[in-house]
Amino acid sequence: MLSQKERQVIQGYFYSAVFWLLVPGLAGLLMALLLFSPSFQEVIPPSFRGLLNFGRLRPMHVNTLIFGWLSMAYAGAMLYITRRLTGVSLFSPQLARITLWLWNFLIVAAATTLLMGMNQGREYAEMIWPLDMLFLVLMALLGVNIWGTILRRREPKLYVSIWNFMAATMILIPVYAIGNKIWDTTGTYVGMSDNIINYFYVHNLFNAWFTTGGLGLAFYLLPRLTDKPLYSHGLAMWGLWSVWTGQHHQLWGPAPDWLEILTVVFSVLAIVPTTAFMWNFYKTMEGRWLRVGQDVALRFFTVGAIFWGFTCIQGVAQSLRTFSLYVHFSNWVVSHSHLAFVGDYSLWAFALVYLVVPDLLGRPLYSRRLAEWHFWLTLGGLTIFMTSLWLAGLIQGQHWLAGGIRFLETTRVIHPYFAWRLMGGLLIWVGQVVFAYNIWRTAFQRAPSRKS
Amino acid sequence: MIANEKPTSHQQSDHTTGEMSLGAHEEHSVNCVGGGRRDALALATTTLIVVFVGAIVVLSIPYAVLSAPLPSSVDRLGLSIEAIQNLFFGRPWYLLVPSALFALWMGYAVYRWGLRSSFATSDETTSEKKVE
Repeated sequence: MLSQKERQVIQGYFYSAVFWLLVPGLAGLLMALLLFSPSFQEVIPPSFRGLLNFGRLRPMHVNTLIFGWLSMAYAGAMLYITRRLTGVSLFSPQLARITLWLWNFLIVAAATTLLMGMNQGREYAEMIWPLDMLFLVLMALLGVNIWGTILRRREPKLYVSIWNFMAATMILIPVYAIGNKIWDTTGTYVGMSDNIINYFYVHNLFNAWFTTGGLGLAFYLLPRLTDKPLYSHGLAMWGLWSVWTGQHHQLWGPAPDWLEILTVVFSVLAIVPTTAFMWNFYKTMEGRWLRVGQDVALRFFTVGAIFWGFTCIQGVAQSLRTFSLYVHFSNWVVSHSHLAFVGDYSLWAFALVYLVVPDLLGRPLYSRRLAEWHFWLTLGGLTIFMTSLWLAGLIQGQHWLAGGIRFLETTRVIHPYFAWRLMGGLLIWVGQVVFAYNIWRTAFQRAPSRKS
Repeated sequence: MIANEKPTSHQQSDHTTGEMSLGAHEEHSVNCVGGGRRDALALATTTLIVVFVGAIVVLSIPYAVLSAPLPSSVDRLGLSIEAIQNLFFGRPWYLLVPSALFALWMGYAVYRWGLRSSFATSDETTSEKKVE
């Protein structure tokens, strides 16, 4: 039984995450509008044009989404799940509360500085040096709470989710520190050397934090939502120990050939954790598929799991030089990122929020109907968004490889797809507003507690 | 219990809930939500969308791989044979070691979690032991 303090602080993570989900969504929508109609810039008051141009909105959109929404949802989930699966109280709810406040401060500061143009100019590593240091402190504080709870556990055997959380909280710190070159305040590493470190970081942020932590969430959600034990814990552990594979951002660049080949080899090895999870998922779901229609949380989770498989197929394919030659720098890659961050990890986080927030509050969700709206708006919008970008990306690749086609001609051809992208993005964002409203009403409605 | 192979006392409490409950303000109007036909429609529509997305993902890969014009130094998968051979200190047979390990693992996984559990009865597979 969670204490009142534990409940309140974990709720705080989820409410903050839901709030931060709306901000990058709105920024993304504005960017999609600017791509479709650049003249929209004229509508923005002149004093805001500096803040709200594409170059500043894009890093703000990315950083608030991955470090605000998704990482805060992960942190809340890790604290909740670790607490439940270890059988002891959290190492320090007070420390978790301090971490929560600092984390919100970080995201406010990141969003503000990035809009002001204070940017390190490296993908996913745009936050300025003091904020990098703050993020590392936050991860250390979260790690102390997770590891401190696990070390005091009553449960002798660790479930795979706990292994995932231990690994994610420990490995992200060196990955972030190296990737953000926290020792390098002078910019010594430039050019290709910097690029290699940057993309070591980008893909390992994905592997070590979002995939490792996300699979921890998934392995907790799967038995709970299906009301059935996980098919194989051993297979899940195989997935854990092979998860840090895949790195395919250096292809066709001036990086050493051996490094490119090595990235391809490791990316192909990603077949191991992918098949390990997908087989466990498929076998656990046996006899439960019909529930997908009934239970919106399970539907979010199931679609997220299948989309995760698609993401991994794309990831392996993109690591092959031929496919990379075709789609690199095109809108295909943008769609791939959205499939991963929205289609997989965010869908799992939605399922978790729908499951955990009512549990923490001791009362049911405010509205299942709104949750259904959330699902259909998100999935419908995401499908339109991703399809338009995949098609636009294939057209771009075809034009570029054909040669002799002017850049503006390619832009003109893919322009209609930007309209679809805008429409898809709008549907996704409206879905998130519905989600936030539902969670807000669940949290603050004055309905009698189920337990009372 | 949350996993077949790692039953634990504390984890059992988490294996209790399946369907999400109705919304608080909907509990007295059950007919407004859910229902067999609507659930079936939701399942069918979700399946169609997922199949559609999967088809684009899967079909576009061979399309792009087969239509990309490549430099003569690389093969259709975009890999330089010479670079692969030189990857392990210039000794191509070193590549056999990780390749063999990978193949062994895949073979074991297919047998252990695929064939054996599909053909054996529930008593014969570790993963299906019921340990309460």
